[in-house]
Amino acid sequence: MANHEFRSDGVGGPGDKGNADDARGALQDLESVRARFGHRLATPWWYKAASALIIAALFIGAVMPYESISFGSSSTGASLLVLAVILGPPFLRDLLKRSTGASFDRYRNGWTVPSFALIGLLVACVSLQTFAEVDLAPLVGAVVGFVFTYFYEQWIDQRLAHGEFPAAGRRAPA
Amino acid sequence: MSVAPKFDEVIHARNRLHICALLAEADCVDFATVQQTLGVSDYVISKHLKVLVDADYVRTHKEKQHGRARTWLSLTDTGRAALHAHLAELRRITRLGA
Repeated sequence: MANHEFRSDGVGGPGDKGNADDARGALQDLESVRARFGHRLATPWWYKAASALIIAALFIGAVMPYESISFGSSSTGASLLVLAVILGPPFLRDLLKRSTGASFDRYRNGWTVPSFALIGLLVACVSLQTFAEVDLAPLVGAVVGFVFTYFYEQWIDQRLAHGEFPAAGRRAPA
Repeated sequence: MSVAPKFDEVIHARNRLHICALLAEADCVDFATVQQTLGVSDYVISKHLKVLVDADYVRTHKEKQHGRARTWLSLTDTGRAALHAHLAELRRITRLGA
């Protein structure tokens, strides 16, 4: 890494070319630091699996055809919902903070499209179960939701490893 | 949102710039994570952190976990604004030499 010792007093003088090179070097260094930081923030396998399980639990808890599944009950469904929606995300976030040594919102600006996709899938599963009597549609939805979420988490990790942090008004501009 | 470019002597030192840029991406970051990411010694990080804390750019808080204290660092609003202005100045200088 270069040592950037330039001063910002140039307003068009002969030293500006060197200053500009140093400033460019400093900005490039920052990209490299961000990439290293992003790489460190990669989630462990258990986080991706747990996150995917929460989404799967949401599907099962919301639309499980309790009458046709021998192990199901309405209290099981309620428990899954509570676990998935209320307790799961903050618990996981805390574990991740301890594991990676950093707390940040990895979904900032990043859940809009996936959320709509998952809600669409949930609606499709409920519709299939209710109107077409496809009782196992929620189970299929849960599996699809699990796989989708697992790979989505992996995709976020890859972006972070390239120094691409979730965009937000408060982040430092590149 | 456009930021007025302003050179910041406190942030300009390479390690301090890196610390601020790293903290700007998160709500808070563990001291050890900052140290390992930047690949410099505890002493160097501590020295630069003191300057940043004294300037009210960074705040620290300690948390006890499994019997040992962990120091968490976060960028203050003042620090964030100074970082944005300094980065804007770096980009301005880059354009001058283009």
